[in-house]
Amino acid sequence: MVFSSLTCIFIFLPLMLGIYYTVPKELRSLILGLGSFAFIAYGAFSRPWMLLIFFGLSFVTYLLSKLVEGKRNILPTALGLTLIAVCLLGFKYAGLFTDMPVYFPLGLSFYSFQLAAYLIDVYRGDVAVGKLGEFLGIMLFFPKLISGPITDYASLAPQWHEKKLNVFRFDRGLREFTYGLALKVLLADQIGGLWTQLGNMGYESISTALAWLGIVAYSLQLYFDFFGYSLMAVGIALMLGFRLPDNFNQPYSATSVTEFWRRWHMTLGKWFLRYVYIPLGGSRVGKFRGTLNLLAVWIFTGVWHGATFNFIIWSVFLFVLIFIEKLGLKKILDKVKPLGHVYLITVIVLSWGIFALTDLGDLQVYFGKLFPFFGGEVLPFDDFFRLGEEYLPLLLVGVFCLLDPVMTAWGKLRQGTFGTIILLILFWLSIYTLSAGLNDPFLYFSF
Amino acid sequence: MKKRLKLAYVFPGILVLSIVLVTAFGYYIKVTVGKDNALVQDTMAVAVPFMVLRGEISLFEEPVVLEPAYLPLQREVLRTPKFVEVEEDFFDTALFIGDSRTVGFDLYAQLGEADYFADVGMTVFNLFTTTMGERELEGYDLETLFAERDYETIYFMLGINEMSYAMNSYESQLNQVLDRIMALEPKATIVLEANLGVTATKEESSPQFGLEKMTALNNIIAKVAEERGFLYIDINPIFADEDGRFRSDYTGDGVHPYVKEYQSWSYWLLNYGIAYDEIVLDPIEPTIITEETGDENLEN
Repeated sequence: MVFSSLTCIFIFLPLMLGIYYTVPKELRSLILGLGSFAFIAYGAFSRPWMLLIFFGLSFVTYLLSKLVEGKRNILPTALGLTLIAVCLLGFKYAGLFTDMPVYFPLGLSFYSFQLAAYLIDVYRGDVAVGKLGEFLGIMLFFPKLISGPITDYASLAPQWHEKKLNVFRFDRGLREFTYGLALKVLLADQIGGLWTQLGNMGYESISTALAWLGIVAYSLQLYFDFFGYSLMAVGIALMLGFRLPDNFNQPYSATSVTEFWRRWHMTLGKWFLRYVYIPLGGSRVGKFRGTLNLLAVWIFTGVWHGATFNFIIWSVFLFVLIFIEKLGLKKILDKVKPLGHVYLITVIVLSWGIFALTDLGDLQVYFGKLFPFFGGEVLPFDDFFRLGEEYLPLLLVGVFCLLDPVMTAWGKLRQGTFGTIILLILFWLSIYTLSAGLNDPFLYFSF
Repeated sequence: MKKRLKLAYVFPGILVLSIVLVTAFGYYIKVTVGKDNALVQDTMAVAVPFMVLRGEISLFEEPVVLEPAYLPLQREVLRTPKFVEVEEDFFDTALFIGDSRTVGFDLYAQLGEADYFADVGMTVFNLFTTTMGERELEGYDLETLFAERDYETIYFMLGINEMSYAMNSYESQLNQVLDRIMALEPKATIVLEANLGVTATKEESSPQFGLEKMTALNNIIAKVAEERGFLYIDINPIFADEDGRFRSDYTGDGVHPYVKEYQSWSYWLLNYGIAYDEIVLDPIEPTIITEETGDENLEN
């Protein structure tokens, strides 16, 4: 079940919240656990074995954590981490070795990272192993299950015991949820239509101008989709009395790739920092080893994002940029901010192009369109004007929503009367869009 | 503090109240004007009022039922259409009716000066209630279009969006809209097109569009064509893989052809222009007039 569905908004959430707020305090954990189970079960309805994956991995991790706790026992830790890695990579890469369709359990990438973090934290003595029910409840806490934010056990455990419910939190959570819903449904899904149309046209047939417009649109879509979804997760968690970490901090306002990745999917960055980069020695082991450590982190990041080779190219591309920035470019970009913005937007948009095109043939064709002076075919810009006209208003709204002053002003106004009116309008516009099936850029049910 | 507390109730309060009101209105529509409308019944109550906004259901009017309006043509000369290879300008007087695949055809494979009455999500059920959006025929519905423009040939491809409906209701509605088109544009020759299938991958994710069901749909269209004396063409063999499904290297989403495939489609269509064998009704000596051979005695 995704948050931006009518079923979730009008059936699951009202039921969940209604029961949660009505039952006695001591039953809330149970209701939350059952709600998370229902959430996963609904998503795994057509493939119930996915439930086994989630619960099986959880049980094994919990049992191993019992063996690890207080003894710093490396063997069960390594066994658990291997099992989690095999499961994650198995599902991610199985498609490369078989013609049979491989169904990836939704959220497994995020879930497996949280299980691994838990096991390592128990090994390090940072987390005490609690009861099984509490462990399952926290690990399978549904707001963060599918797309994060990747939240460590230690920060959720105290909240599990003391769920702070009050009308202020509920109000703020509902506003976060509504805002996130609007970003996802009204911006990301609509702008996404442009990228979908390019795919439908065939990259060989698009002009250079449209190719550039396409990756700009994709960059906006990706941000509003993920940011919107993270906000919805944070909002639901707040309504349930939990505080989840922020995942984004105006990433497109950065002036370097280094800075961008400190602001984009922040919980993933922290995970890699804490469980990969620092254990490898970070930057304290000399320049050469430090650079290799950085490369390792980026390769892992690429592998985590997808099974196809474009993700490796993507991650190495980012590593190279960050490496060059470390050599001195970042100092210049930080000083000359306009240059930094132009540089960042150009390279990040290109990086998302590599990220989006999972077929290497498509990637080659597309970049041939972006840079036709390397021998690609130059086509007339008619398609750019036609689709540009159609999508320009949306793209402008998207860019407007990225501007720092706009976001600062919105942050201040969101809780007030103005914010209330805007959010009510956005909510019903989102519902209208969802009810018309216009949120689905792939138009699965309408040709 | 008290004021803050009160304010914190405002947004959740208004939102919940508005949801309750919209849902109640949706239920009201469901049990009144929408009680016989399967689509309304299958839609969540909170979303039903939006169907009214989109014009999918009216609060005040009875649902439009298309009455058969078929008028047998009384002509002194019987014209029997047949396929011939044509130049692109043949399509200057043609109209294409269809869904998003025809929209794509309009965008990427324009044939001559043909018109395209096509829209995403178009079905035989909404054909006569749809008004064209921002394209060449903007603002036209089909009835107005036929009142203002004359077409010699109408290429008609609808059906994939109706695959969730019962096939007999599709067939019945198809016959009704064809009757209506014939009544509104009696001189036009109608060419029914088989619906292009989907790829194997698409079939896996959306089995309702599977090859078997698609073949059944196209068989209905072919049957209607045969029974009613319309012409029928099928693009599928041109775009199919060895299993008969849409080739995956011809499409990005498994449904819509790439631009260059639309262009191939248009070249293929040049083989399906129309010429006529005309039979002059003469009680003594009926004569066939053909383009190639001139007059010919029927007895030969």
